[in-house]
Amino acid sequence: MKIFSTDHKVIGKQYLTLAFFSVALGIVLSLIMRFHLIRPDAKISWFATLWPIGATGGIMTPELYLSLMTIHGTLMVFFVLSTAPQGGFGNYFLPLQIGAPNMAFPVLSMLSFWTTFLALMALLASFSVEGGAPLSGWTAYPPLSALGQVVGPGQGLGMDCWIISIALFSIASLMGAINFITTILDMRTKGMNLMRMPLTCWGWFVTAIISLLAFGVLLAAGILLFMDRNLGTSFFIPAGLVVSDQLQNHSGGSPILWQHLFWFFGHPEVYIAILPGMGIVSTVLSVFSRKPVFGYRAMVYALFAIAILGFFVWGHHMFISGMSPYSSIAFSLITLAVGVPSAIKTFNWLGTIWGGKIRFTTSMLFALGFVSVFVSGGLTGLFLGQPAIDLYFHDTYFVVGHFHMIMGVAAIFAIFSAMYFWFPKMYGRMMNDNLGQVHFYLTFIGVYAIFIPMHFLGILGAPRRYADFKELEFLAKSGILQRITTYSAYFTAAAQLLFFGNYFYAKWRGPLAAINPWDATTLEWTEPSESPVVNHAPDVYSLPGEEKDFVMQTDQ
Amino acid sequence: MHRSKTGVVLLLIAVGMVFASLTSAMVVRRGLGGDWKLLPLTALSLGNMLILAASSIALEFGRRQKSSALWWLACCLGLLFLSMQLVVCRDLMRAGFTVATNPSSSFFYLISALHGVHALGGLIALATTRAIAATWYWHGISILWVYLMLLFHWMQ
Repeated sequence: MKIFSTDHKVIGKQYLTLAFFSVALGIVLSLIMRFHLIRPDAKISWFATLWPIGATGGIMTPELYLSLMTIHGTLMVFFVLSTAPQGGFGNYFLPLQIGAPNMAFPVLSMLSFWTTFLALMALLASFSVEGGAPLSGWTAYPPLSALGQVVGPGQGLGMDCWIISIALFSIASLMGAINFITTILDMRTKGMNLMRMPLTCWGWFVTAIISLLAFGVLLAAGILLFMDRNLGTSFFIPAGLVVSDQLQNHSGGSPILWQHLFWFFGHPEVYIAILPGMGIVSTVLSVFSRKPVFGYRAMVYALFAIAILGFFVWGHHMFISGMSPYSSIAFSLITLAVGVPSAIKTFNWLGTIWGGKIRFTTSMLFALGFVSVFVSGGLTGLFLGQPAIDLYFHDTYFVVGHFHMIMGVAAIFAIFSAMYFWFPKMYGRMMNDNLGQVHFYLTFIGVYAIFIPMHFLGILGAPRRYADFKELEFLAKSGILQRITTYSAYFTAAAQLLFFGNYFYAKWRGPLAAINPWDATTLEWTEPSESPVVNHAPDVYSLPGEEKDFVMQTDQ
Repeated sequence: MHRSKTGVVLLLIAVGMVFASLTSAMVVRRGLGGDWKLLPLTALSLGNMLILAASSIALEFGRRQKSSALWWLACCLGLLFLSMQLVVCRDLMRAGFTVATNPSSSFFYLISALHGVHALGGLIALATTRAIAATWYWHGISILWVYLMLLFHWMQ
């Protein structure tokens, strides 16, 4: 396999590999954080080995906790949720599903993957530079993110690494977006008009449009932040700011300006993570219910409606940042309006499985699980979308629970569904379905057990991004909720070993897959599965007793 | 539509979003308080905008008449634009406006540099290919600069 390949299948697998690595690392980081939250005083010798300054003597400092949180969030949002469904499955299956020989610009595909790879390296490099990884979370709010080392370790070089990583990621995503849109507009095979495309393709298409419009904004904001840090400009830093007893030499900027720019990107980013999943789930539900997608056109229009509304709701992340109540109401109304196309999609999914001859494969279970967590996570969005309620819930664990459900878990379920669904096409072998089902049920129970207690913690007022709650009297009795969350996280992470075991075993030893094992209808199932297996010499002709006078090398 | 044309239109939209967000940042930053200083932009900056516009026009005629001379004229005018833009920046430096002096100059240098990088990419494309997509990109870069200059003068 060529490393710098321009083949869309290779690039898709490269993206998936990168996402698998990132998700594994992100999970490990979250387990360390969860451990710290229930045992803040624990002395762990290998913490001191890994982070001699952040965990001197094995006791984690709050700064180290924040840096783990930052890298966890950045890895998961960018390098997993924005990468696996679009860059991974999209690159692999979009050309197959529309009957194109490759993506429209194969070299651009290759460049966009390798730029993403460089971005990941830049992010991980932040762990090894002086001061370590940055502390300001995946949202990087200034002034904390804009002032450098003076506000804490990791805000020096580590923060610069973060900005460079995000800028590279933005550029890679823009390249990907241009490629996806062009491929869909110009590379469809004869007869594949737009309204005959599988909903997966619509998901990738709308996601690419959102990426095209959103990532440029993040790139611009990142450059401004970089200038504030390194060139002495004052875009985001107000005058007269005193940090660590030092007056900062800046004037007149506004941290809120960053929030506007960041969330103008940041909210569409949520849909970049979830829309490809919606497409995948629509297809999988239809295949395993043996019924056409209910309301295909409505599904397409709902995707566009979500995408358009998604660009006008960024203010709901800023209700308490000092916003006119009139703007709050406008943002709130548009936010709640996103519920309409979301409900259209949900009801159409239910309509798709209604009365179907359902085949409960692992892929189908994860698609159903997606609908479940999408609804659960969406309902809590209705609380947070209202300024009066958000005033209380803002920056509590309620928000953490909400976005992990709707953005994290839902998108991950879609990725699992896609993986179990397309594995035969990608590797020519079948994953073990029984093991897959066990994996699903453990994961499904596990994620609810992790995130429901977080909602209760939020209702109690537990603030997010705190390394420990020892000083907070009013949370003295909530330790049980923290422990349930942490133990559930251990349990769910352990359950993922089933997936990885199943994946690698099936890849090398799994039973061979037929060309169309699920009796599906889309074009990728007309193509031979990856890596054909040769069973004969090349010249088997006119075998006595055979009906045909030739035997293909791949025939049994 | 041929895919290179589709691709270049999409590229211009993406580039446009970068500058649109910088525009909004500039408008907001200017409205924040009284620290916005006026830039001493000379007639040279406007003249340079005309050089870039002339380059675009030469390119379009060069493409339609399949004239290699006009094509190279367009490239030379583009190169002249980039060099003159360096002179504009030097003059601004001499007038005491560095990157960190004031948000007005910070934005000016940033936007000049970002636009310059995109223009350089366009020049490389024009020098290596005669594809119509490259001319579309160059027109986009020219129109973008006319818009940005109007913005800077409106911001004065």
